[in-house]
Formats: sequence, C-alpha cells, structure tokens
Amino acid sequence: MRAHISRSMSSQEEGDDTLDELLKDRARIEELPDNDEDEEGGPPFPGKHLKSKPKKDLPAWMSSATLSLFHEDEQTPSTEVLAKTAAECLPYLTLEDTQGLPLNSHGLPHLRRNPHAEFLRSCLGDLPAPYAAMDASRPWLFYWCIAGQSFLGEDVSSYKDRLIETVRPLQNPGGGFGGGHGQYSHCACTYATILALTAVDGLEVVDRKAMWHWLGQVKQSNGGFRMAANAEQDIRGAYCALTILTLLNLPLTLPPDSPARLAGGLQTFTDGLGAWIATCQSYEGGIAGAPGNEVHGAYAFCALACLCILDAPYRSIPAYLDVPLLTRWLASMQTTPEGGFAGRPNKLVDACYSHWVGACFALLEAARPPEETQQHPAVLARKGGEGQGLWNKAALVRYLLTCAQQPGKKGGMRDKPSARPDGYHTCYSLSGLSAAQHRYWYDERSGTRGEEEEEEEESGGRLLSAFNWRGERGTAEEMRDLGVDEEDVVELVHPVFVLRFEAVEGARKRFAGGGV
Amino acid sequence: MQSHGIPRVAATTLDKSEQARNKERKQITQYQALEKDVVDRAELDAQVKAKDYSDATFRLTSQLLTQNPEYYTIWNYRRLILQHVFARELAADEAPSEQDAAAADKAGLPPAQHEVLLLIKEDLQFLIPLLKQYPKCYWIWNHRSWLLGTATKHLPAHSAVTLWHAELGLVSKMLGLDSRNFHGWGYRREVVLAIERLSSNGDGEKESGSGNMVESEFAYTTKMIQSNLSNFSAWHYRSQLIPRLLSSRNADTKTRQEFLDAEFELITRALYTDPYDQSLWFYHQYLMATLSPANKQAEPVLEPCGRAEQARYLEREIGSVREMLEGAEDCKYIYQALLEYSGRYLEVEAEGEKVTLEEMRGWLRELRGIDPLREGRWRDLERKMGL
Repeated sequence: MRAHISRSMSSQEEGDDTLDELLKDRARIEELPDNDEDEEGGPPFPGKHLKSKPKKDLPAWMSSATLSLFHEDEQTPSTEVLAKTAAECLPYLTLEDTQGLPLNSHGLPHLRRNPHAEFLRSCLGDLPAPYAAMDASRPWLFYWCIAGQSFLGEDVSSYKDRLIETVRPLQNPGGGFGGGHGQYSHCACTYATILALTAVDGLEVVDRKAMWHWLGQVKQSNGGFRMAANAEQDIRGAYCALTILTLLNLPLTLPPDSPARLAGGLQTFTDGLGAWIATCQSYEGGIAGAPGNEVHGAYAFCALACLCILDAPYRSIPAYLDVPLLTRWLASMQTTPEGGFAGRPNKLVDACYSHWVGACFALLEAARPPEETQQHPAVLARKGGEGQGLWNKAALVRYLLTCAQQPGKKGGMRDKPSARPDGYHTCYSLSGLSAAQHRYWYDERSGTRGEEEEEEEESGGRLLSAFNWRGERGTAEEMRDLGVDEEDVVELVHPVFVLRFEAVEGARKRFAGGGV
Repeated sequence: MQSHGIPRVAATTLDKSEQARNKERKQITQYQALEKDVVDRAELDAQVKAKDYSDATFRLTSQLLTQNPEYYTIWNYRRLILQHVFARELAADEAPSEQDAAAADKAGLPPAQHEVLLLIKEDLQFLIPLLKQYPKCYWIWNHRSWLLGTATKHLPAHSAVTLWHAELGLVSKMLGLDSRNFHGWGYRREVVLAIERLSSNGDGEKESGSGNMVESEFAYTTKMIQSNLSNFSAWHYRSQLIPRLLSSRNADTKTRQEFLDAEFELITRALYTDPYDQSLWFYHQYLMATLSPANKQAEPVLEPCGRAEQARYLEREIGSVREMLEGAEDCKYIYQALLEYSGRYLEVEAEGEKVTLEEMRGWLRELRGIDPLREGRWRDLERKMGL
C-alpha cells in the first residue's frame, strides 16, 4: 500500500557508514524482548555492538518501542539530520558515556555548578575576536551571564556598580538602550539591560521618563510593537515592551507624541495588544512571530508571558488563545529519544528550548480557572498530572544533565553535544532546569501588596498580575523521580520575567510609587 | 557561522597559543579602530557639525558591516547616506555625461533614475556574500528590503519589477541552501506581494490579472515538498496560499471539493511513504482544521462547510488513517490522529457508528505504550475526552 513520491537523493545512494547499515538492519529492533534485561541489557542504538557493558534500567521513554524513529524507509534530509542527532545523544542519554563527569546517586552526571558559574563569569570578561559580531547585542551577554549565575545561587549583587557604568553609555537620550554606545535603542537590548539591572538591583540608572517616550515610539496602531525604529514588528517586541513597562512601573497611558496615539487613536500601551497576539496563533496551535509566519517555540513563550503580564493568566490566556490547541503543539515539541525540546516540527532538539518551550507549561497550566478546581493553586500545581503534568520533566532533566553540560575545565552548557557552550544556552538551560525541578503557580490571593497598590491597579495605573506568581521547591520525592540530588537543584526562577523572585520583588517595590 | 545570533566559536580564551591570541588582539584592535572611525564620522549625536555622507564614510560602513552585520545602527547610517545620495542624484540639474546618458537611454530611464538604479544594484551586490555567510541576520534581509522599497518608490514599475524578480531568484537560491530559513520564507512572501502589486493593472483586480502569482507559488511549494517531504516551512506556506488560490480560480463548490480531495490524496500518499514524519501530520491537521468552524485560524476550503461535510470527511479520514496502521503499528502519530479525529467526530455526529469509545480507549492505550514520554499529556487527554 505504499505509494511513492519522488525523493531527493538520500545518503543511502552514497552507501556509507555504520549508522546506515544499522538502520537497515530492522531485524535487530524487532527481535528485542519486552523488557530491557537481555544478556546485554538496554535498547539498541547505533554502535551498540561495539559496547558490552551492562546497562542500568532506562526510563520508559527510552525503551525500544520509542526508538521507532529508526526506520529504514527512505529518509528525507530533515529526518536524516534528526536521526544523526539522536545517535549523537544516545550514548550520553543511556549513560554509556558519562564524559568523565562525577555522577549523582541516581547515576546521572551532577550539575556542574562551579564550572558553569565560572564559565558565565568568564563570558563577562574578554571575548575572542569573532564576538565582534555581538557588538550590537552586548546587553544579552550581561543578562545571560548575570541571571545565569543567579540561577545557580551565586550572589550577583557585586556586579551592580560595574554594570551600571557599562550600560550608562548604552542608554539613549531619547530613551531605551542600544546594543552599544551610540547605537539606536532596541527592544531586545533594552529588555536584556533592564533584566540584568533588575538582577543586581541597579535600576536607578534608567531614565524612566525617556523610556516611556521611546516605548511610545515603537507601539503600533495595530496593537503590537516594533523591535526598534524602522525594525520588524513581532511578538518579541510585545513581550519585551510589557516587561520593561511593568518592571519600571511606567504609566500605561501612551505618551502624547506616540504615533500610535496620533495616527491610530490608541490610548494605552495595552490597547489592541491581546487581539494582535491572538492573530499570531496558527491552526496548529503554536504561535508565530507575526501573523502568517511559521510557528516557533520561542514565540509561544513570548505570547504566554506577555499575556501573563497583561492580566491574570486564567483571564488573558483563554481570552486570546486557543489553549487546547497550544497545549497540543507544545507537547509535540518534546523530542524522543532525547527528551529535550525542539523549536519547530521536524527540527532538532536544542537545550535553549528547555526554557522557551519548557517554561511555557507553568504559564499554560495557570490558564485553568481557579474556581473550576476549587483547590488552592499550590495544591493544584503539585497535583498537575500527579507529578507529570503536561510534559515530561524527568526526560528534560536527563537531557540537560547528560547532553547539555560541557565537560572539562571550561564548563558551560550547550545546545547539544556537538555544539560549543555559550552564555545563551547556559542561561536558558538553567532556566529550563528550574522549570522542571520546581513548581510554579499563579495566586493573587496571597499578595504582599499594600492598599495603595491595589488602588493603583484598579485605576489602571499598573499591571500587577505578573507579580502574583509563586514558586516552591520540588519535594525530596520529586527530586528522586527526576534523578537529581540536592546539589543538582537550581534556584527558583520567575516564570514570566526569568529572573530570581527576589530581584523581581525588588523592582516592584522600588517603583511602587509609579509616575515619571 | 552563528546560532541564535551567537558566534560558533569557543567563548573562553583559555588554551590559545600566544600567536593565536596576538592575531586575535590585532583583529579586535582593527575592528575597534574601524568602528570608532565610522561612528565619529556619523557623529550621531552631533548638534553642530553637518552629517558626513561622503563616499569615504560609505565605504567604511561597508567594511564595518562586513565584519559585524548585526550592527543595526550602522545599517541605519548607511541608509541615511544612500538616501542623501539618491536625493542629490534625483535633484541634480547638471547634464549627465554622454556615456551616462547613453546607458540611461538604453535602460529606458531618465539619467538621474538610472544612476539611482545603478547605485541600488551595487548595494544589492554588496549584500550577496554577506547574506550567504549570515543567512539568518535580520538586518541584511531588512536592508535588501529597503533597497527594493526605495527602487519601487523612485523608479518606474518596469524597472522596479525587474529587480523584484531578481529577488525571487535569490530567495529561491537561499531556500535551496536552507529550506527551513524563516527569513527566506518571509522575504519570499514580501517579494511576491511586491511583484503582484507592481504587475497589477492598478484597478485592484489583481486576483485575475497577469500579476497574480498564487499559482506559481503554489507550484513552488509542491516542488519544495517533493524534494523534502519533511519541510514543514513549505507545507506551511502551502496552507497559507490555499484560500487565495481558490478564490483566484473562482472555485465553485464542486471545484473546491475536488481541490480538497486532491490535497487529502497528496498528504495521504506522503503519509504512506513515511507515517513517522511529524510535518506531514501537521499538514493533515491543517486540512482537517479547514472543516472545523471552531478553528478560527484555518479558513474554510469547502463551501458550504456544515456538519454534514465535516462528518463525511471525518469518517473518511478516520477510515483512511486506520488503514495506515498496517505495517506501522508502532507509529504514535497514527493513534494520536485517530483519537483526536474520533473525538471530533463524536462531537459532530453523536450517534456516529464509525468509532466506538472502546476503540478509542484501545488507541489511547497503544499511544501510551508507544509514547511514554508524553504520559502526562495522554492522561490529560483521557480526562478531557472522558475516556
């Protein structure tokens, strides 16, 4: 019953390596016993015949049945690359090769706290010449390295003075921060700068009034935001802008010179925003950078986090997004056998998506109306799928600890074993780890806000929903299920602002008075 | 070269030989000197001094951008220089050289506009090696887009459209190199829109005009899919084109149904070739979504598209997908599709006999066995579907 559609040249015509031979040998897979305990133990993988050590019990999702991606059918260029990646990761996932790393009590490599912290520290120092390519994105390095260290529990307050002096020349008189001195303000650069400053409690350097004016320049009449003057409009802009507005407690009303007000008749920064975000969702349920484009995991996070800033998640998310469809799409992005996340269908696993996709689930789960369950959100979070929820946390942890850690003196975390570590992947791997290890939920009942702030919110003065998130460290039992020891556990990371909760609280208090 | 905007080199400088470090120090110093030079000339904060739009500065921005194409502020400055030069050319009232006049005449353009065209072409040429090296740099695509936009503004349609057609050729090449490149697909859509606009009669009837490219673009997606079935970007573009395609063909009820059936036929054949391909199932989901009024993101294909049509297609596709199980009993996507389409079917046709709850429970059982990674998700689905 198999019809044929003409295919491009596959590597089978070149007839080459062990991997292809093994893939053709279907009998090997079919003959496997039901459990993993045959004389050699464990599932098959390319190169297995070269090893003979007995294996430990492997998790259910790594059993032979789930290695069904190894089919001898004609492969496309995409599926070839997928198979190559899985082959690259399997020796690490199965603990065949632990890269000489010290192992925890569950047999997984320990989280290399000190080398990773050291790696991040060094990324704030001198960088090799090719990093000139990041000369227009320097704030990202500040954020990845400082926030990343804070996720490891490092005290980053000592960076405060140095950071303030470094970002001062990046701030433009017209408001906002550019990638370097003399560079135009840009949403991403500003976002990263604000987050980094928040992490070290250094927000005093920000010219809030100018920032308010600049954000008014990038707000669009259709409700969305441009990334910079004459730059692209996409959903990152929306998330960046709302983050900046909220952490700095800038007035929600648009500045008088905002084009969106003058030409579009909009009144506030939030006008039309939810509706614009809604147009970015596709039939598959995922979110695109802009309407009509292909959907991508990173944009899903931006959409959800932005909506969580806009209002309580159980109100804003269902109002603008089809939640079941989005859930379906996000769940499809976790890859087998690696256990990490890809960013798009038929693309490769990448550790950074541990955050961009992995951190979506806590936000999504808060979209459920609290009255529906009549349970305290904390209890709900604990029960969500009896510890499993909508995604497989243990699988993600395994991927991060076994495949994403760089061994050796250097440390750092990387996309996948064949990639080099960098600050970006280290920061977001740690955030993803936090999403897997701890519980996060939305709870507006136990706020620490004063009456003044309540009034402020009611009068439309400040968006406060994002400050209502709570986090709780996973229980000892949950840590056991994830295969981690105490020293492998990272800090709680705020699900919307991707910073330590303490830092977020600091910003909230600092600007509680509001105004410009 | 870069991944997520980060250079693919070791971030730390340990373990490098002194020679290597010296070489890098030189590179860094040179870059910094170049940057300082450009920025000083740009004098972006200067209140007093007139802006430097000289050719020398322009060439320096070329150097700097070649080293750091992410330097968006310098792209902006380059555009300011170009704008200045274009304005000067177009306003010039001195007679052109004989040579220039002849060349302009040959191109069918007034000399001033011809000069602008040549300058634009030169800049487009400058971008090509950069684009090849940094295919995911937003700013390079942006600058191309700006150059083409400027051409469209200052030149007659026949000149501009030639440039846009060349862009189509370029983007096809880029997508040939990396068929999943976001920027490429987005740029392609922009190019197609521009060509259609410039080729229309100006009376708004572009759907049936000679400038309507929806057919050729649809054919392009077919070609891309045939060369790589897993290319979801191509399937995505295809789904975006379909509503326009059908309206452009003035498709009536019968034609629409035939079209939808042909698409189902296409995707079904593809799925028989490889039922384990995630992209294919997402496209199947698209076709099914066009039938469902609840899914606002997928415009209906059929007219009318009521419950009867929905039920019929659901029945047919459930049957079709069921048959795919043969020889692919371990394919999680098949069970997932059966489960989801059955759920929808029972919503549309409560008394439907095509599937039973017992069967659905069986599929869910299989799914859990094959895809234990998503155990939490399947449990959630079980609860939601009341199984």
